[in-house]
This record gives sequence, C-alpha cells and structure tokens, in this order.
Amino acid sequence: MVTKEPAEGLQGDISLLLLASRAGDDSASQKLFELVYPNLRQLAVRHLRGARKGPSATSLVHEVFLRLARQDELPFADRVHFFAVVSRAMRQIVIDGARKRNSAKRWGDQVAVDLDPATLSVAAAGSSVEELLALNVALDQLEAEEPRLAQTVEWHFFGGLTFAEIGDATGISERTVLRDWRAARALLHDQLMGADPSP
Amino acid sequence: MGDPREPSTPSDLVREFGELLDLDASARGLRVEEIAKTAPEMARLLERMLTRDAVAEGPLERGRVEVVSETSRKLLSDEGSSQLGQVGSWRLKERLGEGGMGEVFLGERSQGGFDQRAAIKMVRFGLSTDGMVQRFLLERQILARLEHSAIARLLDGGLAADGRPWFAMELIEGEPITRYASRSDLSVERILDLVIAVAEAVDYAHRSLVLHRDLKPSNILITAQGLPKLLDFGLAKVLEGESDAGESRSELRGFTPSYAAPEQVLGEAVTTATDVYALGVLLYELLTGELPNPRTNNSPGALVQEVEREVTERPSQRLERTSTGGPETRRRARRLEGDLDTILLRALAREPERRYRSAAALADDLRRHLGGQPVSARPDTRSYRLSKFLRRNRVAAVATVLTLFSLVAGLTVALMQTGHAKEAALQAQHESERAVRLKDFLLSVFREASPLQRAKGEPLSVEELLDAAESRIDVELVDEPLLQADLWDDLAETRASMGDLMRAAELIDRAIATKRAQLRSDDLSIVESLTNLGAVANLQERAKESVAALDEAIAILGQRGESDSFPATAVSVNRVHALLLLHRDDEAAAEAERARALVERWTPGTPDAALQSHNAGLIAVRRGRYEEARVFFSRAVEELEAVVGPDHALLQVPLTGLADLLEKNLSDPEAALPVRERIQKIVAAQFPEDAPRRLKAEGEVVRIRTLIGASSTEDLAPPTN
Repeated sequence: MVTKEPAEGLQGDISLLLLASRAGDDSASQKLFELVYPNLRQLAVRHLRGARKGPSATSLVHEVFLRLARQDELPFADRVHFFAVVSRAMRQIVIDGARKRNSAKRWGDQVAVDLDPATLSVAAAGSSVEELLALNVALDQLEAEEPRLAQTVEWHFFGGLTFAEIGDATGISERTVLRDWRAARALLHDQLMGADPSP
Repeated sequence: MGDPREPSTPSDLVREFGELLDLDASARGLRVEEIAKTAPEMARLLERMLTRDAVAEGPLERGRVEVVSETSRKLLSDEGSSQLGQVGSWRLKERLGEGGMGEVFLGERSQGGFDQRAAIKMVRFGLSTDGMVQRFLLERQILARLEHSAIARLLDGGLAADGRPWFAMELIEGEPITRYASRSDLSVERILDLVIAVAEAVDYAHRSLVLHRDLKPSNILITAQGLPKLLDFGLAKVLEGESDAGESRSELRGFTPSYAAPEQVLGEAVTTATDVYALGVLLYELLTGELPNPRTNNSPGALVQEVEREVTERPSQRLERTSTGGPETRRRARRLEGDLDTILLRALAREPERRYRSAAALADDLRRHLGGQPVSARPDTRSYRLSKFLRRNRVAAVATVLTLFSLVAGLTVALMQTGHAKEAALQAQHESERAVRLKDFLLSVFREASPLQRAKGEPLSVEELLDAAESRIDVELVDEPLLQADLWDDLAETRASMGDLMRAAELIDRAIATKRAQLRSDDLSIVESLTNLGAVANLQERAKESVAALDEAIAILGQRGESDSFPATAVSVNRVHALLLLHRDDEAAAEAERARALVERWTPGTPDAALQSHNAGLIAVRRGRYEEARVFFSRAVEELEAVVGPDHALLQVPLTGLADLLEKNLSDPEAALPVRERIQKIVAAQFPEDAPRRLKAEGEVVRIRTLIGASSTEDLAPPTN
C-alpha cells in the first residue's frame, strides 16, 4: 500500500512517517509534526490575507491534509492520526503565538497589522492571550485524567474539526462527541474561571 | 505526541454528566442529590459543571481559534443548518448575517393579500447550548414587551421543525448611525436630534424595565426616512420588579469594550446609568468622529486597568487636538465648548451616580441646549477633578514619589510642607481642596514608598515617573491652570530633593507666571511660590535671587497687612538661610530672631522649631562660637527627634551641621565619624542606591574614615544604634 517513491515526494514521506509514527516511532512523530507545522502556518497566513471572507468547503486542517497527503491513498487509521497531528500542530501554533505576544506584553488591535499567523489567530479568537495560555495548561491536565475529552477539545477547538468529523474519525457517535465536548468545556471552564459561575 | 486514542472508557464523572444533560432541570436536581449520598465531591463538581454548561461563557465559548474556525464554521452552517426552508408562516429567502449566537435570515410571507418581509433570527445550529437557547428566548420575550417606533418590533415567533426557537422582527433597512452621520455630514443639531430620539427609545425600554446593555452604532440603524431604530436586545436584561429596578449584576461579559460603562468592565452593578454611558459614547463619537476612550485590551484584567486609568477628554478639546486644523473642525470644536462638553462629561462620568439619572434626563438636557436654555449638567468641580487626578496618579506611583520626596526635600523646603501647621495655614489661605490633596500625598508617606517601580511592574526611574507626571499635568490639566501651578510647586520640591534644582526652579517659575496671569498680584498663593523659589535658590546657592524672591513675598504680605502671618514664617526661615549664604551674619541673626518668634507663634511642636536651633547653630559657627554651636546643633537634633522620631530624613540637616562643626571647626573627626555614619544610614533608608544625595553621604563616610585612618566599620558603630 504505502511505498516510498521519489515522484510522490512529500506525500510519500507523510505516509511513511504516519505509518512509523503509529507504530510508536517517536522520531517519526517528531518529523511529522515538523513537517505539518510550517505548512499550517503558511496556510494560515494565506487564509488571513485572502480567503478569510470567502466560504471554503474545507477547513484549514483539511487543506493541510490535502496538501501533504492524498486523502484517498491513506488508510483510515492514518487519516485519524493525521488529524491528531495537525490539530496538535495548530494548538502549538496558537500557543506559540500567545506566548510570543504575552512576552511582548502588547496585544490588542494594533497587532493586527502584523501578519504573523500565530499572533493573528490569537487575536482572532475571542479569548485573551492569558486565557489561551491558561487553557493550554488546563488542557494538559485534562489529558492526564480524561484523554478522550482532551482530544475532543484539541480537535474541535484548535483543529477546527466538526463534531461529525470527530465522530467519523473516532467511530464515536456525533451525539457522544458533543457530550464529550460539553463535559470537557464545563470541566475546563470550572477550572479556569473558578467555582462560582454567575447564573 | 498526538497519538490517536482509541475511544477510551470515560470516567464515571463524564458518564454521569452526559446522562444529566439528557434530563430536565428537576430530574437533574434529583439525580445530583442521589449521587451526593455516595459521592458528595462528585455531586458538587457535577453541579458546577452544569452551571458552567448553562452559562456558556469562557474561553472555549468565545469562538474557536479563528483561522480555523472561520472556515469550519462555514462548514457547520453551510452543511448543518441553513437549508433555507420555512419557519412558521415565513419562507426563508437568504441569510442576512450571523451574530454571536444566532443567525439572521430574510423571511417573507403572504398575508392578507400582500407580501410581508421580516428578519428571522434563529439560534445557530450546533451551537444551541441550554444557556444560549435561554438567552435567545429571553431576547424574544424582551422584544415582545417593547412597542416603540424607534425599536425594531417583534412580529412572530415559534419553534422550527428541528426544534430550534426562532422569532421574526421588523426588517430594518438602514445603516449604522455613525456611518449615516459621516456619510451625510450631519450638522451638530441634526446629530443631537437623532441622539435625542435614540435616548427616548432607550428611556422607553428602561420604563419597560429593560436594560439594553450593548448600545453601539451597529445596533442603531438609521432608516431611509432618517429615523433611528434600536436593534439587538440579545444582551438585554429585564429588571425584575421594583426591588431590582436600580441594579443588576453584569453577569455577562458580552459587552463591547469601547462602549461599555466602567461598571460593566469592573463587573459592578449595572443600572440604567450604564445605558446612559453608552449613549454618551455614541454622541461623543458622532460629534468628534472618535471614541471617548478607545479600549484596546482583550483580556479582562488588562481592560480593567485600562478603564481605571482613563480620563475622558472634553470633546471640544479632542477635536482641536486631533483635527488637521480645518476651519470647519475648529468651528465645530467651538460649537462643542461649554454646554455640550459639560453634557457629555456628565453622561460619561465614571461613577454611575454622577451621570444623568435617566436617558430621558440626557435627552432633556440636549433639548434644552438646542433651545438655548441653560442645561442642568454642571462642570466637575475643581476638587472633584483633582481627586480623580490623584487617584490615577497614585496608580502610577507618582503620588507616592511626590509624597516621599516632599518630606525629604532640602530642609527649608520640606519644613514648609510638613505637619499640620501647613494644613492649618492652607485652610487660612487656600481652598480646602489643596489641603485634601496634601493630605492625600501625606497619607502614604514611607509606608507605601518602598520599591518605586512596584506599581507598574517594570523598572521606572523616579525621573521617568516625574517626567510622566509633568507631561500628564501639562496635557490633562491644561484647563486647570491653577491646579497645574499647585502641582508644579509640589513637583518642584520633588525635583529639588533629587538634586535637580534647575528643573525645580523652572517649575516654580512656571507656577509663578501662571499664578500672576490668573490671580490678583497680591494673592497668597504667589507668596507661597515665591517662598519655594527662595528655598530652591538657597539650595542652588543663588542667595541673591533667593533674597529677591523672599523680599517680594514680604512686600506682598506687607501690602496685605499680614507681615506676621503664618506665611511670613516660611519666608523668614528661608531668608535666614539666604542671609547666611551671603555672609550677612548680623542680618541673619536678626532675621533668625524674627523667625523664631514666628515659629513659636505659628508652628510650635513642629520641626520648624528645631530648624531655628539649627540656624542658631549656623550663626554661632559664623561668629566663631563653636561650643555654643555644638549645643545648638545637638539641641536641633533632639528637638527634631522628639517630633519626627530618630530615623527621619530631616535629621540629616542638623546632623550635617554637627558633623561639619566637629570635623572642621572643632577638629575632632573621630567624633564626627559616628555622626556621618548616622547620616549615611538615614539617607540610605530613604533614597535609591544611585541617588546623588546617598552617594554623597557614603562618600563623606569614606572620606572621614580615610582621614582618621579607621578601616573597620564594626569598630565604630553609630552611637544611635
């Protein structure tokens, strides 16, 4: 099924890496991530420059996917793995951007002139830099306790996958994915915002 | 990294939560109670989670990471929801837009033989949490009770086939009020007419017990007929009954920062005055083209800080400052001066209770202004503006610095500022506000003064703080020249204490010039500045100028017939110093007599008396009476200790006199060393490490040690320890 041929270039690499990564090869996972991260950033920039307003049938994650690996040629399990990697990369981009801005101690509208996708994505999300950084930490903790919930958050919130797509990818019903999301959101918000929500 | 997890078995908590979501409210309560019997911890957590779920507020709710979700949301809405179909009797024609929680469609129906069009609002598919649905239904309910020509009317409502609630509103074809105003280049009068109409609609809503809480240009459309229409009560709040009529907690963070009243940002009670504030912002923006306080921060914490720092600039001033200076703009700036400035500052007052009591009251004042009648709003009193200025500057630690240094300034300068005598004098000669400010300054002395950079979290030098304070005074208080002059006086003392005597003298010169321009030539306030100038000139050893300034002060006091009044005390004290500098010893001795009499009369029990002993010591030195001088200086130290304690910065002055005497005149450097060391200790406690004064004190200790060949500090601990 997956063979490395020079003509396939990147795509072949991706397939191989996915395979090795799934087999537990950490360095393959690392390489995969390194391959995805810059592509995602680049796409993010393009989106922000141009296609931001126009309706697009695919999410950014899909685009990366199409760009790096030909969907049909990947076995199902690889595709799921790919979503996971891309969502993780997206999270990394966002958090990197948040850290950068946090350390620069200046964020707000004025940064919007800076077309760095990471900072922009942070600016564009309705949350503050501090909130995103806190969320990142809380999400790590959630991952230790409720891995499935943490994955749902990573895929949906950072990766932009719909509940239906997550359901497809994991074989869980969409309804259950939505429940997972609500449970994860409630747990994270409980932790991030204190135990006394105003009614 | 990113290993796809097999759908693992969720914990009991997640499973229970999922099951609770399927239950209605009462069943949920029962189930949670049941769980509490065996697992109270979990039950409590579940309850909190349910509330969080219902509130639907937080970083995860505020929109996903946007680069991605921009497209994926399209996916959601394109594929998931907007099969344009039918709700109730309405055919959905096209999607007009989407808001935070809903989407809006153009709807049409045929009724009674003609076509009717409406805006159909629905909760967005896939985002219908309980909390959102509740808010949505609340908005529908609120619109149902509002029937006003300037508020978009509710026409119809129901549940769609997929269970989502919807409602139909009057379809408003118009443009946001700001765009309309700038496109049509509206006159001030026309703008006021529009805002009056909006304010009346808001007042109507208030009387119907509805707070809008999110008034902003995009929610106020102007129709083709030029009439305003209020939209989007999505964040509105119903005031429940009379008990609740005044207040409501701002539980939702769903406001728009630049239009939000301070109490919304600060999470305080929200009242009808909150909407009055937003109307103020709107009017300000329409008149000047700019927001009164543009807020640039997203995070709640930073926003709070921003709001706490801001002070609203008068609209006329804003126009003048920011305009390119066209005659049209200048004319408008003049048009805003006076009434409209006052009205807007009142509507935009930081404290809700200082604003108009109602939107109607704002409308009334605008109407009175249009009719050429006197308006009800009054400009802020000077003392109010002053206290606001102080509050802000305390945050910037400037007041702390001022306080600290006004007390450790050169002795004569500082003495003028110290203790209740000053306050008593101010009551006699000044408006009480000056005393309030000084009290404010004095309050935090030393206690708060520790690390100067603490307040801003970044290292700021004192000079930077003072520079900032000075430029703020220049800009923010440009309309308060007398207040500026008072603060220049204070800053001059601070600068002087830091050794920047030139800057100090400049500030005092400015203060004097301002006061001369603004006040009668014999005003006591001028005496005060002249006295300060004399004190600084003394420190600069420009004694002739000092005497000139002080003599002028004496002349003014003479004209007023107040030659022996309290202000004469400081004049006399400084004059002693100046005469000493000029070696006019006999005159100095005579002036010192006068000074002592004045001090005993006006400020007994203050450091001033100690200063007289100090001066007597100086004169005795001049006259070669060294043992007498030693007694005077020692007495000055004792008197001062009795008043201010053993560690006060003022002590360095008589101690320095004593040390100089011991070392130079009595040739006893070994006796001088502990005195120098005590000075060094006092200075080190008050000044930053690199302050000239501190370096000098350290230098003196080193020098005298070298002189007597002492090498170890330990051997010669200061006697006061």
